[in-house]
Amino acid sequence: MNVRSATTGLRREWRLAIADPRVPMMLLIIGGLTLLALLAASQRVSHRLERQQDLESYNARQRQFLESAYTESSLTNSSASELTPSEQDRRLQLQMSARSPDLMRFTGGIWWTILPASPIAGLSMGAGGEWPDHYYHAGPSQTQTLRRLMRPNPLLAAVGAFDLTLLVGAMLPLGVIILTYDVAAAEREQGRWELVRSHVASIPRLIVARCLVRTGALAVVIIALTALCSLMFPTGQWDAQAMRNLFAWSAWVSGYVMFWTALAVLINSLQLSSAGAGLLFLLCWCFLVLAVPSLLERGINGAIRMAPESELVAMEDEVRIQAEQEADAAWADFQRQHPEIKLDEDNPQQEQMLRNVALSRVIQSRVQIQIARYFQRFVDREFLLDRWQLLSPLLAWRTAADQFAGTSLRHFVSFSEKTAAFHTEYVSYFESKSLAGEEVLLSDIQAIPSFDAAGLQTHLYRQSLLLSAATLMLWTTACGLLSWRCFHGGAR
Amino acid sequence: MLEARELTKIYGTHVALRGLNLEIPSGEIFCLLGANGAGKSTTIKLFLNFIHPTSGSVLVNGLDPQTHSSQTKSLLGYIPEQVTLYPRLSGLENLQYFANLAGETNLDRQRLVDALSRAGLPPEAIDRRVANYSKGMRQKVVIALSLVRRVKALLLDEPTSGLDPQAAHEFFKVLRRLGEEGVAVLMASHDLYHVRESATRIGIMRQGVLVESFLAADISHVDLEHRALQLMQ
Repeated sequence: MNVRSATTGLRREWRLAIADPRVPMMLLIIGGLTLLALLAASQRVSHRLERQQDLESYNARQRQFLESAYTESSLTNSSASELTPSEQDRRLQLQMSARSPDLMRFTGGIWWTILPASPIAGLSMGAGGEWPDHYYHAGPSQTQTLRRLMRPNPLLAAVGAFDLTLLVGAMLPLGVIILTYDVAAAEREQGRWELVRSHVASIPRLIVARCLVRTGALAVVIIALTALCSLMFPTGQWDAQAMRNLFAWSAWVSGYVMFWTALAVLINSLQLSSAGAGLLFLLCWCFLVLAVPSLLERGINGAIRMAPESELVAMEDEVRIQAEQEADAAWADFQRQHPEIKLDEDNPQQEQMLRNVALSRVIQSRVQIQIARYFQRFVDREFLLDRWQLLSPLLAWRTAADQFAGTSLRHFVSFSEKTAAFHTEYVSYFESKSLAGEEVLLSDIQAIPSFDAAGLQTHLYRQSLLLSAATLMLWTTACGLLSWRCFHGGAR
Repeated sequence: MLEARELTKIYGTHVALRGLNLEIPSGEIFCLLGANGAGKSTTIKLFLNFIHPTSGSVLVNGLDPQTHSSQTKSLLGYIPEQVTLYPRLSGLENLQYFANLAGETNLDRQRLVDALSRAGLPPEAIDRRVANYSKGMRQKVVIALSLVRRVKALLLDEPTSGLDPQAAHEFFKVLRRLGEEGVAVLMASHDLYHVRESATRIGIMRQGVLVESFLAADISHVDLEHRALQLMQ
């Protein structure tokens, strides 16, 4: 079969398909749902971008407040008069803290950051409303810095937020079922089968072409609408990486649709009645889209229990109480590590301050271990999910979609880890000055470490994607081989 | 053009066709008569490669349909007893679809309209949905398909059952014209009158065996009826 005859065949089947009222109706429904999902996603991304801008201007304002402790010129009197009462209080608080490294170390709320939305974040909400929301530098506490830390259901396979991933993953296959379940059975039941068979050179090719034009039309509607709507985003967001991810996303949509096409061909090759084929197809959908992901989710939740946020906060309190009981030992260790420290006997507050530093270091290191374990559970879950995605093409699809949109669990963990590292860097920056007994200068304020969250979503975890691609290919090939066996085993 | 050699088809323990020998050259209209279950439809299905012979062979233009499926299909036209087309397509669109299915890709509208007209479809019906067609009109679409494809042989399985006399008359008229144009025709039928009028040769089958074969011109209507009833019993 050459390309020309394949193209002719597809055109012929498309003319037939479009005469079937189910096809235009389903294309309209899927197109409408795609636009709805994109609208919701667009609002969500816009909201996130607005929040990102708000936080950036907030951070700039905090910097101005700090610098105003050294020179009033950074905040003119006219602009100072525009401050709200709470901002004026905040300015005074920061002006008082600005020169003291100890106070700066414990002053929270100077830096806020948010995992920025990637240009194509709208393609998948990942954990839906449970995206890592923002990072807030809160002095000594680490567990309270990540807001909305919990992801109650990282799979969100069976039910979840209405986004493109759910639309493609669960609803598109339903469209495929409606359009293809009776491709062969209807011919037999309506009495056309023999006439068709007497004309066509290859029945398998005919069925493949019929399924392909119907499923292909659904995929084209989704991909085209998504690409067009995405191109309407502000052009400043667009870069080569985003385009590559959108292209890869489209390829994965096609791959996922190919699997359902292969399944449609297989079911049509079984010579079942329309009702039988439809029922079997629906059972396959229930199994692959509902049952397997739900069971897997339950299994993973059982294997790796996630601690709730409250449990994390309680853990930090427990660590603090335990560390306070060992405060003398911590102080002794601290003194051994810093022989350069010379205590001023006339200044008893100095020893108390350094004891606090020693204690907070112990707490910080122990909490970090706990948080690292907590993050490790996310990573472990992700690895388990990666491994078991072979059980359902839906899981493979979701895994890839989250990756391309930059909303996967791994991106969340990466964001969390980087903010934790930033927290340590920020505290250490002032701690070194505190130990050296230095005053904070304007140049130090201007050089305060800043957190760069950009680029976190664009990273693709190749191993996970390869497994996803392999899963889709495996399922598609298996269906193709079984169809071939049915067609050539006398089932014609 | 159509040839069967010692053709036998057995379903389980039931012998549907036993040692059939048949040769239909181009331009001949061969009609098979026989009671239901005599093996007429089985013979046609074997030529169409819908089923495979238990023993013996069928040949279409010297080719075995099992090993040369595409080539033999391109030579054959088929009109089943119940012609069902795609009801949401017009007659013209159905013709275009099936012709395309058979590999005819470069068909302009005029050629399709001409074929439908030659088959006897009224011009006003050409662009109407097939859902509103009578059985005779649907048959004309399929005949037009054979005309467009320029088939070398036509297989018909009781094509006139359910047709009114006028439609049956028109149908056989077209069939005779096809025969004159050199198309080999194998038809299973119960319509003794039209078979006698249109066929070149007539074969009578009973319980899977071709019991008698004779030229249509050698027998009168009355004798054909007597002979058929006698041999079918």
